[in-house]
Amino acid sequence: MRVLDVVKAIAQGLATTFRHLPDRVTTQYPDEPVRLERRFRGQHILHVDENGREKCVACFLCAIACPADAIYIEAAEDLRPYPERIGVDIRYARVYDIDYGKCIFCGFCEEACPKDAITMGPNFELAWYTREDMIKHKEDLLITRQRVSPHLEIAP
Amino acid sequence: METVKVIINGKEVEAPKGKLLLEVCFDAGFPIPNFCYYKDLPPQAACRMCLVRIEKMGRLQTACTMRVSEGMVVTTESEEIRRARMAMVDFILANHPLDCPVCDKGGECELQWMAMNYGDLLARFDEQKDATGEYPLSPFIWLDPQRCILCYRCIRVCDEWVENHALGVRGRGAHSVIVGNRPDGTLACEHCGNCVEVCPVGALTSTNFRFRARPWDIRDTVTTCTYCSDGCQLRLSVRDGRVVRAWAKDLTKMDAEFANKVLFSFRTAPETRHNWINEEFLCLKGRYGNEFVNSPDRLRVPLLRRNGRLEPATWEEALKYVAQRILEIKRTYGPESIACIGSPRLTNEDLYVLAKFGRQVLETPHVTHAMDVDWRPFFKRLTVPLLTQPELREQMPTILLIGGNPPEYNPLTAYSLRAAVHRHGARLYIVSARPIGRLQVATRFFHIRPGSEPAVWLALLDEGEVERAAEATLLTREELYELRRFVWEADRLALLVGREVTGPALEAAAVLGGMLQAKGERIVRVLPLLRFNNSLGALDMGLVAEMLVPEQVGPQIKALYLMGCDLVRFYGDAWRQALARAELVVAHELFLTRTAELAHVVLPAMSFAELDGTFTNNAGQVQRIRRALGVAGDWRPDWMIIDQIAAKMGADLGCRHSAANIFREIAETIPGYQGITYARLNEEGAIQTERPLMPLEVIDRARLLERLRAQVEAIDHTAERLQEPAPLGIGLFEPGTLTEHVPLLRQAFGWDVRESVEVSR
Amino acid sequence: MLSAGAKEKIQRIIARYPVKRSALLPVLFVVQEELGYLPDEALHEVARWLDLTFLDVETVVSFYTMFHRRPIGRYHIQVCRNVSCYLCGGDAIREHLERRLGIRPGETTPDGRFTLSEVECIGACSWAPAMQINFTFYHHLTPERVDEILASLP
Repeated sequence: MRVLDVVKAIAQGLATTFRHLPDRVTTQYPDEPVRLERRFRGQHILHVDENGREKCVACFLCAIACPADAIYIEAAEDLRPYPERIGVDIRYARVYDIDYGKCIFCGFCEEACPKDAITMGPNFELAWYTREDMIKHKEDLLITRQRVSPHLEIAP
Repeated sequence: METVKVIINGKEVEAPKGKLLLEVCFDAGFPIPNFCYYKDLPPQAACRMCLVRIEKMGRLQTACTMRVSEGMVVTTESEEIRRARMAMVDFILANHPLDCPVCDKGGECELQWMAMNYGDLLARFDEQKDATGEYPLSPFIWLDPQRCILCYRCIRVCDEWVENHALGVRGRGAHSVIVGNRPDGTLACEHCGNCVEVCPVGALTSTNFRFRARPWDIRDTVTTCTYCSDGCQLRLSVRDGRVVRAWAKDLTKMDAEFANKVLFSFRTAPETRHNWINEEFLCLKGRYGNEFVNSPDRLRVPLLRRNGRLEPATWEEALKYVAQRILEIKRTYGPESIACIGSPRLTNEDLYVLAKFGRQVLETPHVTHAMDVDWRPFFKRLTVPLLTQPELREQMPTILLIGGNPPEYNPLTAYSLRAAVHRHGARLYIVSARPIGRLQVATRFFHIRPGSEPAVWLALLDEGEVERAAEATLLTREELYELRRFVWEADRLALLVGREVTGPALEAAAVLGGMLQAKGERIVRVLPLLRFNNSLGALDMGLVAEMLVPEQVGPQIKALYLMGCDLVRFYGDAWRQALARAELVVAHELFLTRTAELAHVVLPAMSFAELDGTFTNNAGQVQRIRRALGVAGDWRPDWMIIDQIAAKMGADLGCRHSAANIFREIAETIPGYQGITYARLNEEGAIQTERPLMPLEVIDRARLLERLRAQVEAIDHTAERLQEPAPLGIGLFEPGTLTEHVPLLRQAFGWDVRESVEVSR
Repeated sequence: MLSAGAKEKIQRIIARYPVKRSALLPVLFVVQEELGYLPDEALHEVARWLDLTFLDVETVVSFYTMFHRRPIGRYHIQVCRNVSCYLCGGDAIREHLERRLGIRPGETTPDGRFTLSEVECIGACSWAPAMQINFTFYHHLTPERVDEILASLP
């Protein structure tokens, strides 16, 4: 009798396994896009306003909020009138670097930002060969420059 | 002093009668929020933030203008007061832009703090704000009128502290705006920036600090200014390896919670005291002149002359070369052929080690420093102690200034003079060949013939010489008698000696104090207005030999060891040829100066922001300088360079690798420095050295008078009085070896600074 | 630029005060009475007399609406626009004056006779609406009454 119980249990277990065999759990990355949740925290995006002016005013709040000390900013002055200038205000970030070797993707920078200038984007392919390459500059992070990876899709 | 009893929030407090209620409350542990009140400035009652309830008075009263009287019963916290404060904050914020992320003050703003603590969650004004842009008032100072809360602090500081009278408020009500004194509203002043520092909000900002850093990402180091001999204390703020500002605000006088929670939270340990000799004052150079340490022109590697060109070398090569050449020259021409010349800008430690090196290793008598006025006779014959700035401000009811131009060359002294007049009505007499701007608080001004200062000293020393002095100085006999009465009848007298006073007159200045004190019970202190931050330290450390003349170099002097002194700039082009005649010129420098260009070896030294050490100011007070910056070049402290050269020459100077160790030796060997240690300096701030005083009996006064008379006879008796005051900025706006490397100053004053010479690499 | 009489008057005023600065307002009134307005040179001179800076004088002048930095008309009509007058029709009075004189507040008629300006409360709330021509009060105004007043001016 005991033998029968054991066989039954094994059969039951394997039945579950076989039942799920047709399901596909592995995403065939990169041939197929990875499906991400909408609040996924990937590489940062620096935003611009409706006229293409950078929203960041270089207030340094994200830098101090960052627990990993991954953000480095240098502010500069741009006294030209709004249509000509780089940012929304006369103060803008001349340098905005994020070190992805340090970043822990906690999203505190996004929380700290008073101007909604930085958000966590969907891009997740953050692997490089050197440490220098891990430091991404403003030019890499701006929404106007950053391309969403073709290897992902965002959950509706 | 009469005291009164007042009851504050149920606690009985004793306070001097007539003290401001706000101050009494602060001392009793009930800080009252305020914007327009500022220690030492006349009360303004502009912000109405300090409202308190005083029993038997109808309305809420402003604590910043109310003086305490017997039996006052005060409430500083209640629902009524809370609501009043909330309304005031709301009112102040009515047109204040909420651009804190952009504003430089964000993070250390008094209004932010008040709004968070006393303001309402929502503003009641939802009308459109009257937006204006920011604009510069001067090359150093920017104004954003919209952020201004009209507390008048800047205006009062400009009037009281520096007497520039350069700021005012134009218009009224909502249209009031801070303006400068030029017709177009910009500033014509000495650009000291004190207005920026007292501004409670971000209305006034400094050009050099604008947008460069945030209070939370800078580190502050308290150190001593490296310009004039007054020796102001300042905080150097460093961000990312660069000095971004200097400031001197007294944070202990602010709401302790604000200071500890906000202002200090990210920086240094909270300061518990602020016993700085300069209180909160800084001048143009102290505030805006420190960025030479960031200069890309700084020497970063040793330079060695090879085939007639200065080329980068390793320290090992350079040090070995210097040691070898010095030994050769010493062997060939004898030790007297080598001269060591220090700079009065360097630390006591550097200068002490240089003097020791010169005497013990080189065995040369030529150990000296670059000096503009020879103060040695003055300090040799000193008969009364030196006067410190706090004493000048608080304890001296009679003050005599002869010569000098403190607002330009010793700004802190000028500040203290004004403070003495404002705080306790000191009588200030000024004797000068030129009207002095920005010391209008003076009680009397004696306008003398240029160069006739010795005659004034003569008349002060000897009543019988008044006639002769009157002739020389163009003053009337009555005026000279008035001066004599002023000096001889004073109970507490401060004598300030300007740099025009030289030779026997300088000795007279040193001796007069002793003569006055011998006459009766009284206190006399004397303050020599030296030029450089460590002029007195250089004398103390023993760099006291006669300064060389260029002609000595070549025939007599074969090797020059120059520590931080630009002889060509300081003494003129005659030194160019002299340096060319020398067989060896070693220069420690920050920059490739005109002198360093001609050297055989140039060794990159550390600036005051990278070093630990001490300076001795003109009152003989020793103060610390502290390392604020990390290492950005292959540079070393001056004392270390000498120590290493000495080691290569087989000698041990006993530096033991630290400035503290050298200072320990200074404290053991230099008279007056006994008992001073770095630990004590950190604890107490400034410590005055005790100077050896010469007993009056030892001085041959008859001989001194004779020499002084001869000096008076030599005065050009035909010269006319100079009617024009010295132009604004004659001292402050002139380029110097350090200031010319500060980009902001260079641009502001349009200095035509020669291009730095390209060094072959 | 001032007559001897005015200068003497000013000296008398200055002598009245223990602190020279205190004489600033009365002295400015004398100067304005003499010149009709306060040009820069006059302010410089006042500053010299009173040991003040130009800025001190200028900021005081800019505070008070009774001082004029530009020449004004012979009659300076100041219409109150504060609450009481506003509620009682002060606006209509101003509009009537504007139409009648053909100028906007702050302007002067081409013949140099009238300058119109709006001012805050002139302390005549109980007789609103009110206006002031030079230093004379006129209250309980109606457009007709304004016409009468203007016609009666010499």
